[in-house]
Parts: sequence; C-alpha cells; structure tokens
Amino acid sequence: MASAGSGDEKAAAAAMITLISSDNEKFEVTEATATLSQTIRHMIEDGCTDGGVPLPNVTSKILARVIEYCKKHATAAAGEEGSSSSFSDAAFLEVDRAFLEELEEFDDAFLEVDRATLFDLILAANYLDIKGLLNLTCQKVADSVKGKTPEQIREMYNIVNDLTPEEEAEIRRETQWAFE
Amino acid sequence: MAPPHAPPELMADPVEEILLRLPPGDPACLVRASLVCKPWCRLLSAPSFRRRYRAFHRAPPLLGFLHQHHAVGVGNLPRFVPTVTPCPFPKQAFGGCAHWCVLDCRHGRVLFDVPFDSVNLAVWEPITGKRQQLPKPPICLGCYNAAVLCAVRGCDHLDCSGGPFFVVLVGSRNILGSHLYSSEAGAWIASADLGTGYLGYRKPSVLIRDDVYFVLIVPRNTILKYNLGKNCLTIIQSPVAHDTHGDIALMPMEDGSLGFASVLGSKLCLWSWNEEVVAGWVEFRAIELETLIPSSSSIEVVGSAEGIDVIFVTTNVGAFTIELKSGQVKKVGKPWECCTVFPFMSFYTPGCACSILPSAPAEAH
Repeated sequence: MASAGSGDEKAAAAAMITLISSDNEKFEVTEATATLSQTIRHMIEDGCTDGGVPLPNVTSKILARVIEYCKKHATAAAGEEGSSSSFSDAAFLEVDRAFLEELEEFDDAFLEVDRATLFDLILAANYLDIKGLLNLTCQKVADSVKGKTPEQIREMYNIVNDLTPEEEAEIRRETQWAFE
Repeated sequence: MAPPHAPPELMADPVEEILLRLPPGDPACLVRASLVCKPWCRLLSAPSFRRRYRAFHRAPPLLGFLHQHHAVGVGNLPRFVPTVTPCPFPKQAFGGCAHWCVLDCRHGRVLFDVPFDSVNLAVWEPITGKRQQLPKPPICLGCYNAAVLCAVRGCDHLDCSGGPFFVVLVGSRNILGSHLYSSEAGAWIASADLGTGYLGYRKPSVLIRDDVYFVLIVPRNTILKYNLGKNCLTIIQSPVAHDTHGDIALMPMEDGSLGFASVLGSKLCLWSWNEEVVAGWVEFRAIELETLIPSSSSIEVVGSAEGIDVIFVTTNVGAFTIELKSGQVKKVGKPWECCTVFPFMSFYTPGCACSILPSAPAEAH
C-alpha cells in the first residue's frame, strides 16, 4: 500500500499514528489508514496527534476490528488511484471490478459478528466518523429490522416497549394500511 | 480485557443512522419501527428525521399509479393501483369522483379535470390531503391537457408538498395556446399562442428543468415544448424513423435530454433528443420485450416515471413496469386495464397522514 508513488507521497503514506484504546492498548497505523476517520483526520490537521491519539470510547477489541476495516479500505483506495494511470480503460475497469468484488467479500465477512460487537462497531464508526463503516454496519441492522414486527424488533434488540396501550392503539389506527 | 457486555442496547444517535436506512419502497416498515418504543416513535415522526430521510434516499419511491377506470354503473373515475404493499395511498380515495379525469401527477400532487360546464381543474395532495380548486381558466371546453409542478425555484422536490405550484394548461379551439396558473398569485398569470393546425392529446407530460413537454395528436405524436421562464411554445417532431402504430411516452433521460419511448415490433425503443450536435433524435436503446415479458403481444407504452427510469407497458398478459437500468420487470395490472398511467412517487414517514380526496365540489382547503 505504501510502496507506490513518489518519494514525498511515500513519506506521507508511511507516516505512522498511534491510537490508544480505552483499555490503554496502543495501535500503530499509517496515516492513510487513520485518516479514513474524519475525527482523526481533523486531529492530524490540528497537529494534536503527538504522543498518540487517545480513544476513550473504543475498546481494544473494537479498535482492532475498526483498524482492520480501515486498512483494507485504505489499501483499496490507494490501489484504485495507482491503477487509473497505468492501465488502459478496459483493463482499469477489470481491475476496478476485481477490487470492488474483493471489498464486498471483505465487508460481508467483516459483518459476521454478534449483535453486541455490531453495535459497538456502529458506536465506534459514529464517534470516529468513518462514513463507509457507519453505512455498512447501520445498513446491516436496518436490513435485519425491515421485515419484522414491532414485537420481533424489540425482542431482537432488547428494547422495552414504553408506549402505553392507548398510544400504540392510536398509531395503529392512524396507520391501519400498514397492517393490512 | 474489555469488560463483559451487557445485553446490546441501541443508543439514540446510531438509532437514527439505522432507521435512516430503512427502505423508502417499503413504507410500512417505518410504521412498524415507530411502534417499537417511544424514542423510536418520536424520532421517526420528527420533521428533522423526515428531512434527513428524504435527503438520504434522494429519489422518492414509486408507490403506485393512477389511471382512468370504467366502473359499471358509475362511469369513468380515477383509480389508484399500488405497486408496493402495504401502501399508504388511501383505498377509497376516489369514492366521490365519478367522471373526474386525471391529467397529471407530479411532485406529490395530482391534477384533475373535474366535470363542469366550463374547464374546471383541481389539485390534490394525497399525502397532506390538501385540495385546491383552480379559478376558471381563460379557455373554452374543447381539447386540452395540463401539467402540475412545484413552483419553487431550485427545489429538489423531495418534500415540497404543501408549497406553491404551477399548472400549465395547453388547449386549442382554433389556435393552440398555453396558460400558466400560479397558486401563489391565485390566478392565471401568463399565456402564449402557437398557431393553428395543432391538437392536444391527453398523454402524461414530462418536466425537464424549465420545460414542460406535451404530446399532440395533430400532427400525430408531435411534441409541444413549453418553456416556463420564457413563456413560449415550440414544436418538436417525433423520431422520423418511428412507425407510429402504437402509443408513446415521453421521459427525461439521465443526461437531462428529452426521451421518447415507443414499441416497434417486439422491441421497446428509446430515442433521445439531441439539441446540440444533430438537432434531432438519436436512437438510444432498444430492449427486446419477448424475453422480458414472455408470451406477450399487442404491447403498448402507457407511461413513464420521471427521475427513476421506469417505463409502463400494457400487453395481452398484463400491465408491467420495466426498470430501464436493471431490466427488472414487475407485473402491476391486468391486461387492457389501463391505456395511460400516471405514476405516483412519494416518500412516506410516520406522521404523514394520507387522506382521501374530499369530494365536495369547488371548495378550497
């Protein structure tokens, strides 16, 4: 990933950032990987990453997964940039498609986690402002909700129904069409 | 080591991110989600969520289509056919609308021709229930068609129901002319004349940027362009190679040009109007329908959905939608049921109350 490009680019891509999880584990990552997070990108721009970036809301277990995601997607982005100048259009499209397929496979496998981990990933993606990861994880939960009844959704996600029977009856009356 | 997990609990911020991703093409799933608990209900019904949801999904989904239906003992009346189930469009919407005629449907509004002793138009918003009777236009009964569109400049039309609108009426006795109604002014504010020898046709219009296109029947399948900014009318001939045996539909193409769809033999053919290079029609695509809709014959194009690249066709085996991008075909109606369809596209989020058309005549709400 950091092997292509001119000397300057190489230096920039190889610059390392230290991320510190809530349980004090340190992770060394390249700037290219770290800046998939808008939150960290802003910290880098503000020059406040010396001595490491503390992430008090993210455990080491989740941070390791988040970094795995960012590494893969940063590599894909770098690969796409590199290929656009060195291949013919047709070859580029072919490479592009291969990248996308590989990324999709990676994403599918990445989402094979229990619900607790999935929610932690959503919280981390939200806090770190990683658009792709937030989209991926939220879409996974949305897909699991869409065909379900309110009761099934509550059960799946351990949600207490605090609507009064009257409130529930009123919503059902106003949206009767949805239950026909 | 991370501390052991309590059972998963969804928090407010990510919940909004998740609910945003529920599919607009299945409006009932938003309603079911609103019944989960109070926070979800509040979130889904909030105007801020409604705005975010629309902006996130961009194109409003196709919920169904309107067409004229002949009911025994009642006569012609509008009918709504859902393309999603369940569908929030009210089932008994047109109970009191015998002989009403749908002229157009756009930007969440439906435009009707209401039978009366003069030209009488009404605009209805199914999602808000607002209905407005237009003042008498400056034309006589005869051959006319009309289009309704949002009047807000630069609007993305994701959430413009309830706002000001225009109606463009084109009609002819001897001279073909247009009249523009502004709901803000509450009056017919501009007119333009084209000339003699033209006759309008009640086919759906299409809006592309500042231009509204209508189909004329004389000369056959000629297209009339009305420019809103300049208040002027121009004529565009239909594709020359077109053997005009069937019906046609106008549609906006992805590049912003005018599209023209018709069936030639067993193929659905699309042309695109190229103003700059050839000042004419360019054959854009031909789609073999025999394979898409097996054992179909007598295929006619009956409509198109603006902005989502969907064509409606009717055949001996039913009415179908064809998604041009994916080639996906869906049966949406019985054979010979409709000869012109007006697609209804709208977002629905909890808190929108779809209402039936108030049938009391000449009463503005």
